[in-house]
Amino acid sequence: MNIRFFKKNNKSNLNNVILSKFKNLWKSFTLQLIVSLAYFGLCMLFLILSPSAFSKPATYTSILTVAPFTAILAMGITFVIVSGEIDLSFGSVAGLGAYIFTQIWLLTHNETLSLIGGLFVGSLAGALNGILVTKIGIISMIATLGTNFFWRGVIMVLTEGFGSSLVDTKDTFLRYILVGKVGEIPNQLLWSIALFILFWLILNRHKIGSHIYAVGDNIESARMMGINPTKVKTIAYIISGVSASFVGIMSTLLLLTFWPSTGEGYLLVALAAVFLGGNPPGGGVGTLFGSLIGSFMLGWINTGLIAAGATGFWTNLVYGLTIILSIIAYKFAKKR
Amino acid sequence: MHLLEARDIHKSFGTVYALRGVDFHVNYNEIVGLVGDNGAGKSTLIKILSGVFPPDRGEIYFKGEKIKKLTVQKARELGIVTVFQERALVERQPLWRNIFLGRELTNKAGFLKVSEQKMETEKLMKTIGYTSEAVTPDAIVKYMSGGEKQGVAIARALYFNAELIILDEPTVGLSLSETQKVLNFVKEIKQRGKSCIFITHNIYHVYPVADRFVVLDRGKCVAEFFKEEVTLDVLSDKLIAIAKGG
Repeated sequence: MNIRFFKKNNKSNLNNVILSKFKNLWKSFTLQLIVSLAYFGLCMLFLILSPSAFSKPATYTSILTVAPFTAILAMGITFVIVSGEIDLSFGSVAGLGAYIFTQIWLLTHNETLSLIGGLFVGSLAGALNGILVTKIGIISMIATLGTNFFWRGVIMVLTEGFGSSLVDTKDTFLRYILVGKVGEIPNQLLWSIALFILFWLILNRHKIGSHIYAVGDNIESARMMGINPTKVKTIAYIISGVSASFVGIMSTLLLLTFWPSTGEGYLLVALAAVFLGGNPPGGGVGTLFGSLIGSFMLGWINTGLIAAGATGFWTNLVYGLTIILSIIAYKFAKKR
Repeated sequence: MHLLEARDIHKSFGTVYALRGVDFHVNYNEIVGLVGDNGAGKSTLIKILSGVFPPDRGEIYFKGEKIKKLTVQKARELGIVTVFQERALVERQPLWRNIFLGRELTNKAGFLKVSEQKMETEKLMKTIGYTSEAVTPDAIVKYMSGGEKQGVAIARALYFNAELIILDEPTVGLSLSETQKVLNFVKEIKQRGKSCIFITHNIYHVYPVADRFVVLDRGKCVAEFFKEEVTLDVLSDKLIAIAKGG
């Protein structure tokens, strides 16, 4: 009798431990699980709606060529959003990085120098956003909206609206490394994965990431514990700026042409990807995984709708619907 | 020699005199209850002792040495840690991040020693009596009770070898059982050979744990009582008399 009782008791304890582990896992990874499930559901939906299109490798290549650009931008902005601010200038910063890259290339034909120049100007643009927001105290939405117009204006004035050909970069090592292919896999996909790992390490396993979360969560508490919010937020903006200029350079190399409008179309899509990934705008919480998956979800929706026979007009409608539904699902899950 | 001594501290904000020549000290391994009504100058005094702002006039000594230009950073280096009412916690982050907030254990490249931090957090929680399954190093602070949060803030100060822990109204808004938890933490400070300034306007909370009571009234230290000298009722009567201007 006693043995049976102990066995039953031990089994019940084990069940409780497993249940509690599951609960903890759900609590810790609610966001990631919801986003992953939504992504999986979306993939299934399009496979059912359009089996012929989604059985062709070209469809996947198409998604994986463009979505990584959105993903890298979205991951960069995630740092700013987790720090409790917003960045609306990254589209123009992408254009600025691409413009400086192009100009240095046209002058020197030096791949390394052009790349460093493009990325450096992106970091400067990020630092400027950081200074405007933290030192001068302008609300980030207004400050970065201003720099968004400013940098686009600078590009337009300097180029007088004309593009530049970069055909002579076609066979360069840099182009191959950034936007070439390994088999059928576009290198930008590999870059987005590599950057995801790097950014994840910074945000989740580095002191800087810890401070970004702390400042976004409660700026006064962070300050009382000796963290410098000005420095932390500026670093977040620099990461966003460098990511944006990197994307600008990659997309320019992919098209073999610099257009003064480079980066313009990314603003809403990349922000949508961040929010679709379940990252709230208030700061203190948020995951790179969400932003990454959010970007690929938008890529799937875009390609999937067209493959399923819908016109391009449906894209925005479905984008909007998906974002709202995913946020409702996230809120509901958090309440439970 | 006192652990901390403040001599003739003056502070005014515009035309308002917050402190008018306060003399105050804390001995080694002593719990001092700093009591007084709202507006007595308690918060101003502890902000000066924590390095949040400088006094207009007066001197501060720590372990007998005169401290010039006391800042928050310098106070922390000396071992003076203040747990403000807001507790300086980032509530949506896990416990282990909060314990090491601003003083993370990292390697040379700045990467966190996560498992070490979690292990230390777990040990620390056990030593202060947190055995509940809910209070794991990964627990999100937001979901902890008020008393538990106060405990985390005190534990953090103890972990970093604070010599003097200043608690600013640590029992405000807490239930009876939560208050009891906080008082146990204060006793723990004493048991570890450290000192504490317990700021409160609730004499009933500080009486069971303090060794000495200093009464501030309108920017001045107006009375000092040792626990052996007064019962809670007598102390309470004296404070009422002081508040009435008697």
